[in-house]
Amino acid sequence: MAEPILEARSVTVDFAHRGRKAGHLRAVDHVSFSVSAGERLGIVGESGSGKSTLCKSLAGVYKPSSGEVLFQGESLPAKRSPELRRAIQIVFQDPYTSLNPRLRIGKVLAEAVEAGGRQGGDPEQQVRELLATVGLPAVAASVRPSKLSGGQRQRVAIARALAVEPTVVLADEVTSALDVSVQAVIVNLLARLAGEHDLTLVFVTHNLQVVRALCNRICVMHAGRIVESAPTATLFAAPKHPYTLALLAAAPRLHPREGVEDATAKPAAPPVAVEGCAYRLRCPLARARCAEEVPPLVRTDGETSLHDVACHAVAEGWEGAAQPASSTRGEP
Amino acid sequence: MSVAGQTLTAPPRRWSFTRIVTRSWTLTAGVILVGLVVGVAVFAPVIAPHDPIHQNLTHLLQSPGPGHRLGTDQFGRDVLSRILVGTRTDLEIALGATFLAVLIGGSLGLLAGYVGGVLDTIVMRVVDVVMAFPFYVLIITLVFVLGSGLASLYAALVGVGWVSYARIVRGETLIARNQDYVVAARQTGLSGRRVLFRHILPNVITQPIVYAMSDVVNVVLTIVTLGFLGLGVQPPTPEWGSMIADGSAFLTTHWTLATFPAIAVMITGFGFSLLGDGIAEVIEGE
Amino acid sequence: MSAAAATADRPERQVLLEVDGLTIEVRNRQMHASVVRDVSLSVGVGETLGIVGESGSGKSLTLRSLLGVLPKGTAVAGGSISYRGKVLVDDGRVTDEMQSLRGREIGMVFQDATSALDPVIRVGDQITETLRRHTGLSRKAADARAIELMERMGIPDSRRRVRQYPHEFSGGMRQRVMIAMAIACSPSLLLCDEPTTALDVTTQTEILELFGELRREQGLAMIFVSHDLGVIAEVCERVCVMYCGQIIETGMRAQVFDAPRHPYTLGLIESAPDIEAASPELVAIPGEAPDPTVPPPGCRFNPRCPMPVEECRSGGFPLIPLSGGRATACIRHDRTTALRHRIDAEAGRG
Repeated sequence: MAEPILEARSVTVDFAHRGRKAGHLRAVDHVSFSVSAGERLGIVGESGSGKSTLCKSLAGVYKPSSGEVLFQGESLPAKRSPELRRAIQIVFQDPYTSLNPRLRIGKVLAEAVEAGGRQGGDPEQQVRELLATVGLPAVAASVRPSKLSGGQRQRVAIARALAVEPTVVLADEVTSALDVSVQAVIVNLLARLAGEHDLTLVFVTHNLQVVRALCNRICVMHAGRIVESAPTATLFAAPKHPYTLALLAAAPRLHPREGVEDATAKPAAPPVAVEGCAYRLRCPLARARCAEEVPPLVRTDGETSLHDVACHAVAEGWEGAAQPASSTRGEP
Repeated sequence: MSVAGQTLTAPPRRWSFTRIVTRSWTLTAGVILVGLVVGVAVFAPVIAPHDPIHQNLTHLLQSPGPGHRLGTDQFGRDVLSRILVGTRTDLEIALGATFLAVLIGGSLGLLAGYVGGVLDTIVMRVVDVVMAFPFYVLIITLVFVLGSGLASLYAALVGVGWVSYARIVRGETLIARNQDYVVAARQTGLSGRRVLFRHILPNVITQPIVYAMSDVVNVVLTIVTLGFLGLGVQPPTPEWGSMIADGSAFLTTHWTLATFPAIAVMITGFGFSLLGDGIAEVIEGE
Repeated sequence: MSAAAATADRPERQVLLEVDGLTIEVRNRQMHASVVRDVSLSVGVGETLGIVGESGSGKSLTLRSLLGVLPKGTAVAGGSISYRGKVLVDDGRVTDEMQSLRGREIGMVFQDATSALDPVIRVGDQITETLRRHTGLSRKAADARAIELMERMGIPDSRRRVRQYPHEFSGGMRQRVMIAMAIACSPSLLLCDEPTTALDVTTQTEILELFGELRREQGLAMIFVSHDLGVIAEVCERVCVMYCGQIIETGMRAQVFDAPRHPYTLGLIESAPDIEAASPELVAIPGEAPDPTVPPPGCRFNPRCPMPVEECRSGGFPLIPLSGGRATACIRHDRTTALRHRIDAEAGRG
């Protein structure tokens, strides 16, 4: 079993409230997981799940309020050296703010190449190669970001991340602001590059369907905690956590099934700090224990299943709805 | 490697005179007026028909005529020449003081916004204190205390003027600092200093420049006002404000003495206003 | 032949809204060009029509032109829009009828409730404002109706919440408020511009269910604009696909999604992640959508099409009517099924 390349140990990130509301907002709550080299991990969650904050904490943009992040076995300090910063790159969600509007693309990439410390070699040539890797023509180097479409900008952002030869790439909702067909392009591009450049990829998104194509393992987050974690095939074949089931049921289908009961029950309440399991206000399986104790993330279905679930109901034997994630197309 | 259907082309840079001029009429008008004023300031000693400080006691208080286009003042000095050379005086100080204010205020604002913490608190509290005082009260007090002369005039103008720029730039810096592209730049391993100058500075500089254009007008007016009050620029150096002050005693008999310098102030102020508005229009249009 | 006529396959179908040859232009200092060209569609009583398209397809502009709320710099340049026979837009000019119908007969739900709701006015007042302007209800009656509407939209504790401000509601709740405002005067037609795009997927399901209820209980007709095929599939019976300012395919949604007859529609379906799909592979359409103001010659999709021929590069491409009330703009539409099999085989799908 390879050493995990990136590991989070009980990472918690709190944001202080200023002004009237004293206290803090807990964006990430004691999250622990690890990623092995070359793995493609998907982190799925809706807004408020803490996935973006987690992503930025892994990159070192936010300092965890407690817990630690380890890279290649070493705990990462609050202030990281340039080499460490380069090792973990982020590609951001909003293609319209992730590039300096004043700099031409060529300059942006040249700066990244130079920062990566690559000695020798013609920087212009390297910029052209980077552009080619992400499928953009060389002429893109002479324009400003305002002349590019959202999809093209995301490609530039990916090129910039690659320019410093990172070990881990964190993609934070990189397709959420893009059209459907462009999303497919970017996802396929990331998959290919991850393979070609031997990268470890952490793909954060709210769209379960997108990660199915790209990732080999998926963590589902809700209210700052990981509620389920499993290899992709397992998650779609045998999802266990009620929230995962709700997400799967809610995913719009091209060929909707009529009259299928879904596992959600009540409409979402506005975010409020709760005792015990944060999902219990919406969960059809909520019981007394859920209000008292935060369910721990435990392995189910045997040690080798690599399938962890944080749910009291599941721990007590609830098997999950018999809910196949895929069905034959065209069935009435 | 090409991608089918790529509509990206290198931007053709077609600069035609008509395009620039029609982009914003305000800007064009402003540039013309300011250009005129600056041109006068630069070439004043050459184009002035007479020596502005030469007193000709035989030609006192003459009306505008062939020898003296705008007449002479109570000391026989040619009014036109004094206005032309006065342009240099007023403009030089106004532009100089504004430039210094932007430089000092902008730098402090940039640092305060980027570094934050104690530095930010100190700078902003000082800004608050300075802003709490009515502008002219502060200016006049400073000039009074520092004594007459060019240096103290600069000191007073810059000493009070920097605060607006500090505030503007600090605000813009706070915004820029949290933008994704800045975070990305840090993530590529760039030093804080590099990020500050390469990524933050170019994106915060537009606002203070636009503000400065309009602010020059105010500075000109301040210098003129101080001159009118007998503070600031001292005689015999020609300066519009002191000319207006001197001429106000003769308003009923020789109204031209006070009015022409006032018109000069008006044209300058108008020109810079248009310039500032024009720049804002062009930037917003992008 | 207009798409409206092509889809009028049921003789008893009562047409509510008819759009014929609509063209919208952008007019500003830099350019004067059409962004939506020759769009024709119709919605019958109680029907839901989906308009599918990506950025630059012109779907939002088309929707906005139906209510006369086009953004500054764009204007209807040609074509006609009529509602229940009354002409709203005639040969590009907006008539007075439009103003009286807006809000009363035709309601609109926008994408972002946060910017569509006034943050400094209480939610209840925003609903009653619409009510009182169009129906002349008294203050008390309007207030009562607002509470009733919010209740029906699934907002709990509506008596109290009607006095709250928008920021006190969650995203999904705000959207429900917006829908309440849109249907306050019991319109017959609801125009929805990506109403669930900004919402979480679980919230989205609830809102879509709400739309479903409105359809069933009130017989509300809807035009639903979205780039999300799954959302359109959940809500709409009929669909138009727009690309680069034109409609390129129309028909019953189930048929169009099951067996598309235009390579772009096929491309959209193949690239859309679908949880039901046997294989998770996403097949992307190469290239980027062109700028509708500088379209490529001939068929606008031809630079990215996997099966273009010489004829595709010139001429106009009007909609060709097919059986079953469908229409497509592709002259090689009969080859799309074969194309699909080829793509599926290459992607390794079953």
